[in-house]
Amino acid sequence: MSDGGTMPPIEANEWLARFILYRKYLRQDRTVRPDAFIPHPWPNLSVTRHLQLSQTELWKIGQDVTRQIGKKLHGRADVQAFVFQRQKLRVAAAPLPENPNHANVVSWPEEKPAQKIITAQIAAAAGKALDPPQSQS
Amino acid sequence: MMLEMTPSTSTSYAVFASHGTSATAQFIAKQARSGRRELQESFTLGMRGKGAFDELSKVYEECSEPNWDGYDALPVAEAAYQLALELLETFPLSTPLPSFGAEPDGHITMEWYCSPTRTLSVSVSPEGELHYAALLGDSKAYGTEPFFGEAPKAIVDLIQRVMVA
Repeated sequence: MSDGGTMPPIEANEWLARFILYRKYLRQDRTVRPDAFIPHPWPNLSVTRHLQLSQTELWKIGQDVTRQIGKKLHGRADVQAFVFQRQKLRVAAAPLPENPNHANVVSWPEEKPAQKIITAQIAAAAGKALDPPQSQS
Repeated sequence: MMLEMTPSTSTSYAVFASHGTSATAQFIAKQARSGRRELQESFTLGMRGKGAFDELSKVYEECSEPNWDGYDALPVAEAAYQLALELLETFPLSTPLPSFGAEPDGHITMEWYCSPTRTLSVSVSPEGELHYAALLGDSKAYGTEPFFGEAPKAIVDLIQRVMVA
């Protein structure tokens, strides 16, 4: 697990995870719908930095959160930081006690159509979501 | 004997819209809407027959409580759901079936999807605004159209551009 006290700055090629907790955020072919990236509560989109985490540790973060709130984890969309940055968005480290790797994607436009065209491009870059490990789904 | 069917005025965009205010105009518009609803029941032509309304209803049911996405999403408002139903009724009868979803700000979404870079998403807000964004290969389009009981031409055209290619 990464150390929340000494979080390194976010690099452009760094991978970020968006946990998917609603089934309709995924299409039948497992690609991610833009809806999953609409920032809410505005202006933040919550993500988790991969950093040094193993796949098991990364999934555990999503699983712990979903267990706490009584939801099902449907998958994980991985996107590199530069995908957000080329949309003029910024990724800011926002460590939480239960997730030192937590970050927020910020600087979203306020207008909904502008948000939608950005999320369409992010979803296109995200491709297919990863399935949670069987024992953690 | 073979019957050839071509797009007629009865399946065209906004043909039943009436801006008239006279009793006659209102009567004609009402009759036209009724006829259109019957056509929507058709399995071949209509959205209702293809199960669109059932899927939309399920999304509304799943997303009508706060935090339905685990990230503090707002519940989908009944007004957004009702407007989405009305919008569906107004699409030309041969319109491809969208898939339905919701956004964390409480909007209903309709998506026409060909590939990740060829897609149209339309958000229906409780206030009757239709926010749309389309990826069309190398180009893109986005904006807002008001919904006044007719499917906006800009959106109907984008559906065709996304799905026909």
